[in-house]
Amino acid sequence: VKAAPSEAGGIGVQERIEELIRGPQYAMRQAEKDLLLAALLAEVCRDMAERCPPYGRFLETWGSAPAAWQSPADVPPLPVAIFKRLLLSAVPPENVVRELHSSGTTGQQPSRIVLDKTTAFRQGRALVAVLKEHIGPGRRPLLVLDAAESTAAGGSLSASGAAIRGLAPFASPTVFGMQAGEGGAEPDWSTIEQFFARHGAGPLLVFGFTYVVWSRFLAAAEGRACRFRAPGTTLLHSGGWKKLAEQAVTKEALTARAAAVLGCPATQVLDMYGMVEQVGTVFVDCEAGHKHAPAFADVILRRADTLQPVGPGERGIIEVLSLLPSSYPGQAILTEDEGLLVGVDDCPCGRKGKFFRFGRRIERAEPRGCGDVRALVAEAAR
Amino acid sequence: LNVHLLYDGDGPRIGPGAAAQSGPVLESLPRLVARLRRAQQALARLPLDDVLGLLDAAARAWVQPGHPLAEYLRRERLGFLPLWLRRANLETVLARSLRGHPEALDGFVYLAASDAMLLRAQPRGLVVHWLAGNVPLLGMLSLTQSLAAKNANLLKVARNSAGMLPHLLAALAEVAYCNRRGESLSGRVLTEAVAVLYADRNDVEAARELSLAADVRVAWGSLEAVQTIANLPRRHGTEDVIFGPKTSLAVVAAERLAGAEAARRVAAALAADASAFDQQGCNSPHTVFVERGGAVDPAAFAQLLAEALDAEQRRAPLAHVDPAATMQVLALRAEYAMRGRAYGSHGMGWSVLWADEDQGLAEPCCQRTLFVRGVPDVFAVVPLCSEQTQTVGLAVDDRRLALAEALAARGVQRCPAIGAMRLYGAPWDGLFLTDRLVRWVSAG
Repeated sequence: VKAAPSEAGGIGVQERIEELIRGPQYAMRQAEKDLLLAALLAEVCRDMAERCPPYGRFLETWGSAPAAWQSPADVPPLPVAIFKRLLLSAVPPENVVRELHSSGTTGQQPSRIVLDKTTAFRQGRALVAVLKEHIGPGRRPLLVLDAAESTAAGGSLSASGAAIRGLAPFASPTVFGMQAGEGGAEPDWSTIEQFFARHGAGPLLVFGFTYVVWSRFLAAAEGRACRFRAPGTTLLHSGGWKKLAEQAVTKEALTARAAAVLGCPATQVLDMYGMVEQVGTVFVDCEAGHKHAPAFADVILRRADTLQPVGPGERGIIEVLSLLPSSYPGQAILTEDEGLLVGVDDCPCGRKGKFFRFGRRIERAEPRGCGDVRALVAEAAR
Repeated sequence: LNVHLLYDGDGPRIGPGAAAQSGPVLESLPRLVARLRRAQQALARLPLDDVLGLLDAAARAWVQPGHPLAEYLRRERLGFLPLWLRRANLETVLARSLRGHPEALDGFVYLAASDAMLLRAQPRGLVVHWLAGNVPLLGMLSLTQSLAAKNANLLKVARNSAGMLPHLLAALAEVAYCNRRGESLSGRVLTEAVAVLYADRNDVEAARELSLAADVRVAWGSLEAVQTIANLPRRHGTEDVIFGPKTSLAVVAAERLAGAEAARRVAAALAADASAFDQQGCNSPHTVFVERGGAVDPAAFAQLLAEALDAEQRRAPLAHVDPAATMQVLALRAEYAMRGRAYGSHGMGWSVLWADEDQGLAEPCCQRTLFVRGVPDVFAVVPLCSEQTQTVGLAVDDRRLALAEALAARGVQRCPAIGAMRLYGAPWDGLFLTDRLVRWVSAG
């Protein structure tokens, strides 16, 4: 599907984006990528500014002219929370084919992301292009560690539903291994055991949200002494680490326990970093445990005080950039996560470009003493 | 008890920038308390004039170029401290606090010629201060008022500024002062009556023991913190002074916006108030209400305010940036850029946010973030205030007192001029601290 010239920056730009999605995802060196992405982002963002006037005002206030951008770091990032505050759309309502929303923390407004046909298709193909490089092409049985209700059809879709739908091109068939229960989804052990009994000998895919995998699946499976002995399994998991970090669960611990339960090598337990505000743009663990930016995307880690990009070996707030969105201004998003920029172009896995590790969800840590009136506000609201 | 000793009569136990937990674990709280109470007996015999003389000598010495503390005060933005410690300031604070008769701290006095009763302000004994981390300076302000009332003091400091008080107390111990009788005095007579401790805020047992040792409990902090302290067991007769959470705002009247220069002066004063203590204080403004109808409208005032905050930032940059606050500020900046106007530094130095349709109080964001909101009349802010409003800074001419009356009736505790919001003084939060640190004893 090619975008009409009016949709995002002209046909030349669209073709280049399509080429990036079709081509190898991790072959470009960072210097070359910086030049290419800066030019493409300038075009896409300039066009987005015209079609989404609030974004235009944002760029005008906080950025230099797109034509002057020398690198992706020059694109002023939108803080991810803006999608909770405002509905930002670059397309007329009749062109919106789906609205995505984040799961949202209790009491918080969820993010709302509008997708037009172009963006939705492109996101799907981009996800396939990235995953293909990690798990190989072709369909295989997919076990989803979630309830079927999470992908219910309709104009609105949650983050989990969007991710599960995105895996459809790899699935034959899709089996939902959990059932909705009063306290959340619970494993449907007969379905799960049947799935492994039937498909365990060959290549298969298991997908779940990180917290669900840990707290609902692995813990219960270990309690039942389940060992599925399915060496061809690839477990993909994504989602917040906040709750797990609170329980001092490390990625290494989760990987080891998942590999033991599934009976697959630990290198086939893959953490995917992504968000509903940029569906299709995922950063998947490589064999060295690092996350890489695909060809049509990039990552920048910024210092909290100056917002300047950090160098290799430094920690910063994770910003994700992507050329995929054309229906909303999601090209450069500053997340609420902190990470470590491990290196550039020299990952032992051979993939080029920047690679990083997720660190933690940023939480307000310091109480603010007698100037802290949040508790009073909450009390007054009650 | 897992309590770390950071300072006692033997001097500081940690460096100015050291971690709170690096102080030695306190061996015996009862022994420390006994030592403090003995030191308090000596302090109680010292005339008030000598106490003030020592503090004044410290204030003068610490601003001398080349004094080891001068650079520290500048770096830590404690410039207000030497001003606070000056005799003239403390005499004013004490006179206000003690019914115009600070000499009652030295002996019985008549409060008025027509009053036959003699009164004396007797130290209460041991004051335990729980200090908040948002404005480390408050520790010294709380302490000096207590020392002037000749009390012994145990201060439980916040983790993020644990080394500051020990460092200042070490300097105070070194101060020499020759009193009016020609006697030479050392600051140690004051610092012997002070100890600084750190305990984790979740250490209930430590908090309980400190509470039981106190004759007065002074608590600064968030709602959760002060409620926790208030609920600790205490001895019968122990006095409580609670400085809980409050918020502050500013009001600019149209008559003060008659021209760009006048408006610029108000903006500069307001920027200084917002930048002090990095907007962490309960006296820090967050929302600025600008009366419409002046030559400079609220939107234009927002721009002037941005320029003034930028100047403050160049003079004294924001000291600490919390990544979570960064995210909050950036989201607000983005939102206001989209639906109003947003101004800000390149990094996280400051922000000014304006939207024509916004009304009411904004939720404080800190990090030197000011929300500018237009009002048809300065009195429109009155319904927005309550007992939780500590300071309303005013740039108002003829209607100033009438507005202050209306604000006072709503529960507001301070109505200083914009530019003086950041200055600590007495009363504070509606009470005179020194008054609460003494027992009034009558005779005759």
